[in-house]
Amino acid sequence: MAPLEPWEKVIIDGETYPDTVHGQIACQDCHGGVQSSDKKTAHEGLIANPSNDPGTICGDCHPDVVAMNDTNLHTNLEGYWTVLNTRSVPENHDQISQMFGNHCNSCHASCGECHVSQPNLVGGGLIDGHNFNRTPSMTRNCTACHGSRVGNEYLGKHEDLRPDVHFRQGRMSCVDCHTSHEMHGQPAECEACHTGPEAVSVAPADHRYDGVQSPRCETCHVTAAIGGDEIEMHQQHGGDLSCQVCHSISYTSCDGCHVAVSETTGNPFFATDGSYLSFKIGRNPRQSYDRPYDFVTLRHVPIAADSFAFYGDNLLPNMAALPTWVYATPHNIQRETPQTESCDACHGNADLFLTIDDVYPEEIEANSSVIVDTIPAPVAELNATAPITATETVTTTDSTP
Amino acid sequence: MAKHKQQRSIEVKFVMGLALLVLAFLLIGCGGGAATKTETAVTEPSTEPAAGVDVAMALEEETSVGVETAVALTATMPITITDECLICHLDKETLIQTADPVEEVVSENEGEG
Repeated sequence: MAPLEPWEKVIIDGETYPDTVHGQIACQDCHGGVQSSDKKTAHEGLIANPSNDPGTICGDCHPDVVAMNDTNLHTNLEGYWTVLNTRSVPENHDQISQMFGNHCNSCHASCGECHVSQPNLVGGGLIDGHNFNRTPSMTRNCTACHGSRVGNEYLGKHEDLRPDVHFRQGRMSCVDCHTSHEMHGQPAECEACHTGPEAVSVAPADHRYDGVQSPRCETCHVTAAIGGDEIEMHQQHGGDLSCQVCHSISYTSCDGCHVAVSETTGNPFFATDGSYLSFKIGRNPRQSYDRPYDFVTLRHVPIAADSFAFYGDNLLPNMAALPTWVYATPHNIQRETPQTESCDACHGNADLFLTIDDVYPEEIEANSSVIVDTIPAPVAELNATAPITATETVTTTDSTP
Repeated sequence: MAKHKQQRSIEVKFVMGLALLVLAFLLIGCGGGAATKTETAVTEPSTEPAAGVDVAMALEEETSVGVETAVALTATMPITITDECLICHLDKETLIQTADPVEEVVSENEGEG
């Protein structure tokens, strides 16, 4: 995505914008400033990004959306705090907060950064002459931030790896799965809409893989989940493997994010030691009603005990409280993968599983909940040692003359 | 004598009828003209609200037609036409000329993130 010229970032489309609903609102109502032909005077008190305060600006017309904004992960970045608070201790909160403000907070996205401009993280600028887009652009909004992993995988930007089938054949964009219902935060009462069995077993929603699974593959692929089709692997593994275990290919993992100090400016900056493509199946660290799977795909996240050493010593004393190989949902789904070739493509194939040999020694304790101790045996061995099931016993009895 | 009076009465009625007819035409003519002016005043701003200066000049020319028309046009003139924000932000050349110099900031951040 080429950077915008300064004038491109702020030019309004006079042909289309004034006729829109937002075009009926006077500029100063949202942006403040002063009516003047002198630029400096006109920009006194200017509010460049009005939706940073959505309650005041957007809430008059969009009260239902703004009401959920406090629980919107794009706004509150709560996902970061979930893991930081778990790995740290309250005494370190001030240093962690300082680090967060300098390095993590730029990932915040306001209403406008999805619906009218590019995210500030990639330089900002109006996307369509100040026209508000109900549906954000996949490449200029969504993957502008979610590009290094999700975007590159979904769009097939890794050499020799195909794009996700949903893009390649379905031409689907992010919002086809990740609807506004998911994007804008969580209603106060989940059970008001989710009245099914999950209503009585709602998992605490302090992690993106807790609670109701949304989006869910089975919403479209209805028969796959319940063994309703003719595919033997679906019938065998419909409930104990996440879909990605069979239908994903190699995806990005990262190592060692840390804060370094610039030799030229003395300012802190972040760097990751490396990123690489891998495919690892591990045990599900977050089994729940909605994610009952025994095995899921895992990726390594670039956290390390000394990641934030610039801001203080031992700021993450509870590193072992969470795995560094985490539940992952790669965005490179394929109908046919190396895993779907045969049963023994996975059974007996230690390369596909996260074993203790794949884990850094200092991270073994943290990953004890996801490391696979025993690789599923080849199918021939399983059949030889499998106990006779009740069904088979009945069948045998009935067939006896 | 009676015949003369009758002739005179017919003439008077003819003249009055003619006068009424002319008056009716005048009323219809004035009413139609007023309706046209009202339509112009209401529809003009909403058809080209985005044309900026051009529209403003066109409207100024039309205000010289008459006092009544000028008042109607001013009352419904869109705020965008005189909005200093739009005058600048609709014009590419102005934005280029008034842009602050770009300070190149080289990020030292490395790797995926």
